[in-house]
Formats: sequence, structure tokens, C-alpha cells
Amino acid sequence: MSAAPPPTDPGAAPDAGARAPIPAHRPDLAPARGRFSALGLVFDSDIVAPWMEPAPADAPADVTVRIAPVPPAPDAAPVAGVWRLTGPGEMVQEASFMRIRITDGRRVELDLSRAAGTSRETIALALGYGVTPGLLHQRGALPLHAAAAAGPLGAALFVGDAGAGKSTFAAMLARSGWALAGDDLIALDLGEGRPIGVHRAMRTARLFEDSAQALARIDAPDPSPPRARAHSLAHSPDRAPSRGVSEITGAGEGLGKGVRALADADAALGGFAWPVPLRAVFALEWLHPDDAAPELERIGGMQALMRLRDAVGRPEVASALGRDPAYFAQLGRIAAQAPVYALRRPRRFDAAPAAAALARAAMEEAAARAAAKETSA
Amino acid sequence: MKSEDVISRRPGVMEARISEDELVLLGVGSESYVGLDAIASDVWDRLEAPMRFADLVSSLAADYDAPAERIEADLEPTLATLVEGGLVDIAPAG
Repeated sequence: MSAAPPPTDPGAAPDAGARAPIPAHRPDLAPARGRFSALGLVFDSDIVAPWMEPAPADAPADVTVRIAPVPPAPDAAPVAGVWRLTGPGEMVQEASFMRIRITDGRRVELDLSRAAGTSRETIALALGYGVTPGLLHQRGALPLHAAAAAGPLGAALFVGDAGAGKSTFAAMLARSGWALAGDDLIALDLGEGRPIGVHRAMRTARLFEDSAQALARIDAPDPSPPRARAHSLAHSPDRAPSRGVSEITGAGEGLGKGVRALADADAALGGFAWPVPLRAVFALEWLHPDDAAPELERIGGMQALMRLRDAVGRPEVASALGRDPAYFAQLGRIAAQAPVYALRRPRRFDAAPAAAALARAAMEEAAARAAAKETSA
Repeated sequence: MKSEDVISRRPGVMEARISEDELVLLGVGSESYVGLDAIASDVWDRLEAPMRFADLVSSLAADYDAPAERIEADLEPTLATLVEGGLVDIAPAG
């Protein structure tokens, strides 16, 4: 899979009849249309970023993203988390630097009138992390607050409480022979009649500074081929990024941690055919004391389902849109197909490789079981 | 329980089949997951429409080739679990 930026067309005009709502003196925020693939969807978007996967040229767009005027939500509009439900199939979010409207899970409009001090990258990240969960809920597509990585054995999903180290663990795997499916927001291919798959989201991870520095230390020796190197997203030619972990891309309001684009093993491995079959789910937990050895425990039945349910992203939006029953059934299907493990490791970065080895062993078992099942079928 | 009592599912109960022989139910506004084995799942399936207790017993007795008394005895704890989990209502006869 190519790591090249998606094609853009800076000369493309916004929708006829609508003046793009961008601040004065920010011509760089003018629509620059491009197409990218993420979360199983093809986006035709006025905002693109280099870490978004280019869409196949002949794939029809599932979602359009336009820079367009968006009126404020009426005071009476019901609240669903950060969204206001402004009509059937329509919701509006008032972020600090832009107003967003999503309609029917197909159309996203970004009003950038207040984005004078905001970079394009931050807007792209807000689109990826702040807008798409709502979009997926509108589509009934079960957004998961999780990280995921794929290797030759299939894909692993990492869930856990906030602060459980999902981002760091997935980013670490992405530096050691796995492809990063995504971090913070994951969508699955839940089509009937085929194994559940993990879609690629964005090649970015939301990392605290200490995690990023630890990853950079892991990266210190640089045996990677040039094509697996990081995209430089900070446009700072005088500061070469460490292998795989670029400079912070955007740490705007609402994004919390710094966001870094990662070069992962996808290109080096020849590219995966996304979605990649889901082999196992790992619920990450911390282990005490610090010198304890990482451990893996299979979680069965209802406990597995509960862990998965805790991973539904923006659950208040799911409830407001009436998605809970369908999602509950889908989570059951995930629990039925993929073993769920508690993966406990001490809060030391140098314990991560041993934990990763446990995960890999569990993946090998799961892949072998899946292959045997396929053969017997 | 009396023969004429009518058992009905509460609206909005969510279902997740986590294996061939285990169904998990969750009632509206509840965080108490209820797991049903294969036979209890079968009971739940039969309650898709409200049903008299006597009809439920007789249908199970026919399909499982067991005496009604035995079915009744086995059914009581299952129904108690469903009631306790807020998953069904039982309307007393008459």
C-alpha cells in the first residue's frame, strides 16, 4: 500500500453557490479537494492530510466533506455528547475552532469561520478523531474507542480504560513489524457471511510525550528501508523525525495528547489487504509491581462482552441515535469470533516487548484455530 | 406460577449471541448482564410473543419429549432469572 499523500486538487472549487467560510488572511484553508480511504469508507474531502490513505481511483465516495457555512444548532436541539441533534439524520457540533454538521452519515460540512489560528493538520485531525465517530454512529457502523494493529497472522484489537496504554502499545507494535490499523478510533468490517475484519483508520497515534520519547528510543537504530520512514508532518526540514514517529502533528483543543503520524510496517510488508481479519482482542491492564512479568488471561463469555461494550466510542451518541440494540448484537458477534484476553503488563516501556510476545503467541493460536475451522468447513 | 399467567418480554431488551449455546441479554437501563444457556435461550426465543405459562410448558414438553411436571420445575428458575433481570413481565391470570 502506498504511503504517498492522497491526490489533491488545489484548484477545485467548492460546491457551486456556497462561499467557503474561512477566515480572512487564511487562503491556505481554502478547499483543496482530495480523496482518501479510512474506516472502510471513501471520503471525497475538501480537507486531506498526508497520513490519510489515498482512495482507489475508481471507488465511489461514501462521504463528502465540504467547507461550507453551517448555522448554529437551535437551543432546543437535544444534546448527545458533543453533538446536538438538529433534525432527522442531522447533527451539529460546536468545536472551539469550527462548527460541524453531519447529515445522513454521508455529508460532512465544516464551517471554518473561526479557524484563524488553526492549522490545516489540526482541522484534519479533528475531522478524523472528533467528527468521524459521529459519522459512524449515523451510519450504524460501531465506532470503537480502541487501537488496532495488523500482522501476517491477522489483526489485533486493543481496548481498555483511558490511560491503559492502548496508543503506546499499538504504536510500539507498529515499530516492530506490524501495521498500525489506527489508534483511538477503529471501525470493523461487520458484513454478514464473512469473518470480521479491521479497517484501516488513520496512520496516526495519540501519544503522551513520554510515550513518544520512549518510542523514539526504541527507534534509535535505523535499519528501515526508506519507504518505511516517517512522513514529516511538521514541515520542519531542519528537524528530521525519528524513524516512524514524526513530530507532533497537532495538539489542538479537544485532541488532548499530541498526535503523531507513524510510519509502520505496512509498506515494508508489501501492504495489507484491508480490512484484515480480526484474530484477537486484548484488554490492556497495568500490572503491579513494576518488576512483574507480563501475563495473559483469556476472558470468556459475558466478561468479554462487557469489555467490548466498554469500548464503544461516544456511547451517548449511540444511545441517542437508537443504535444500542444493533451494536450489542454486533459486539456479541465479535466476542463469538475473536478470543478476548486481558493483557497485563507493568508500567515500564521495556516490558512492552515481552507483552507483545504474549500477544503474538495468542494471535498464532487464534490464527491456527481459524485456519482449522476454515479447513473443516 | 399459574397456568393462565401470561409471560411477555419487556420492550427494548438487547441480545448478543456470544457462542452457539450462550445468549446474553441486557435490559433497558440495566447494567446486569444475564447469560442464558441453550435451553434458556430457547425459552427466550419462544417468548417473542406473549405466551401463557401453560402454553410455554406444553410446547417445551412436546419438543423436549419430557413430562410437563419436569419442564415446569426446570422452567421456574429460568423465569425467575428473567424476571429478576428485568427482562420479562408476568401478568397474573384473571
